Amino acid sequence: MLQVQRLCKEINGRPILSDINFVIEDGGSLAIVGESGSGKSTLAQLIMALKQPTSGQVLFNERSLPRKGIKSYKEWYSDIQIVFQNTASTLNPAMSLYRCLEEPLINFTNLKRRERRDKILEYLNKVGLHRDLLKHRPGKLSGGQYQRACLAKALIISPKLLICDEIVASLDIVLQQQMIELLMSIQKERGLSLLFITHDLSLVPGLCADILVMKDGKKVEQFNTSALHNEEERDIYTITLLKSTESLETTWKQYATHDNKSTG
Amino acid sequence: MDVVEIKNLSIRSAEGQLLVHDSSFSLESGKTHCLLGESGSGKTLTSKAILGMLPADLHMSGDILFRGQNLNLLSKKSWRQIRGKHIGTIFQHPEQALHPSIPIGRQFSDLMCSHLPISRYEAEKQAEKMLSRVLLKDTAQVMKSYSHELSGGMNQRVMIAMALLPKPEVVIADEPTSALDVTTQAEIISLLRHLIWDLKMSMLFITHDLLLSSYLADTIGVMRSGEIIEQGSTERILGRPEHEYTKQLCRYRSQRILSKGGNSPNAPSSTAL
Repeated sequence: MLQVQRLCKEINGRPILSDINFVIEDGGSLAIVGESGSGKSTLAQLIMALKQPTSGQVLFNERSLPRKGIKSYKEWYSDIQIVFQNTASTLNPAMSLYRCLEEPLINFTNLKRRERRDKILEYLNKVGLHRDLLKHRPGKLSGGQYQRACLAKALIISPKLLICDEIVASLDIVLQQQMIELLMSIQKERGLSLLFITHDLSLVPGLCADILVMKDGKKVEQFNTSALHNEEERDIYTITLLKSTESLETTWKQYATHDNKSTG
Repeated sequence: MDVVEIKNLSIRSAEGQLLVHDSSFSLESGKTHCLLGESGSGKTLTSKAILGMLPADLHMSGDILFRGQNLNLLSKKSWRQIRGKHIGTIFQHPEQALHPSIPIGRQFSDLMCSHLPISRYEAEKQAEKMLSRVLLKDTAQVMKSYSHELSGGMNQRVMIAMALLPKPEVVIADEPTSALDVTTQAEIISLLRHLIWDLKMSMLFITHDLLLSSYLADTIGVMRSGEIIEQGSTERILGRPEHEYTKQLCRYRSQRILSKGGNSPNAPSSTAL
């Protein structure tokens, strides 16, 4: 269980995050939705102990954020893994994909060489990548393949919580949908907890049970995804976000009626 | 009548790789044509070809007719007279298109004075009026600002004002909102649609976003790997797609409809009030 309590972060005296509180239960899923500058990526960095909070705390299964010593960081990262939007720096460009995926297994597990190989093939298959890619360097991969490889690398040590920071924002719609479906199936199969950070509300239904809307470093509101359209309860900002997308959808629905019927 | 007609446009890289393959389409007067495609499909290269702004190491063949005149045969200088005056442009990153060290107002008057026989004073007066049409507040302050002092959404409004001010016949907009927040995007797109209709301009709109194309376009050409695989009226392309790829795009997009009654198979059905 991840507990974020009264979390604040200031940079040069300017508040980036103020008083963020939420809980993700084991197997739970929460979407953090916000526009640029809302502090959502800073939040991810704080949970990953890449930055230290100004005040407040983050607890995972009662354990607090690591501060020093390789051991405490290792323990933290064996439970929590992250996939970034700008993934070009996630995989070492000088290693083959095989070695990129083997690295976390060497660092976090005691598996033997052959067991590591089986694990790599298992996860490669899970994210839908062909094993021929293993001998290539990451530079050879397309945007969609790269993002899948990063997901495999994050999941290969079986973390309990996965943080996704805008992981589909730079992919095209077909790949986006495939990525979302992949996350949904892994989540179901493994009971993985998910913190999904995005600016795009339309990605959330079906993927996350709860939504937390952020603006200017503050929590606007948190609610169950099924109550997204409940306009009487929703904050005015959430409604603005929703209407921004919906206003463009009206013409789509006029034209694509035939298509809706065939898939609905 | 067709304002712009592209005939058999092909673009090759220096190594001979075909980047855009035999594209033909036309832009009707007062209408919006949308080039829809994923990254790497060649849609931006096509728009750059029309503007005469292709990188020098690319080879282009085919005809680009603007009001019957073949732009491909023009000298650099005469192309520059058409670009800006007759064909306006709005790019994805206005911060890169606007000059970083010249105030916005001065950039407006530079543009206007290079195309029209008017005074700087008159040009700036017109510019300020245009800035209020793109719904910028405190236009006098914006005229004095540098682009880095303005937000992304404000810069894009300035860019739109700058593109529309010389009253071009054609506007080319290349992903003008994909770097903006969703709320800003919705405002800018509805503003752009309103202005284009109001000024009776033709627009070539380049996007990867099916929702935007449905909102703006009269006709759509779907591009993939440098080829236009399907084109027709917006109603036909989105309502009755024929190509497998277009069908797939529409299907995935429909799954993501947020508003109620969107028939989204992923979304929970308990959306009742």
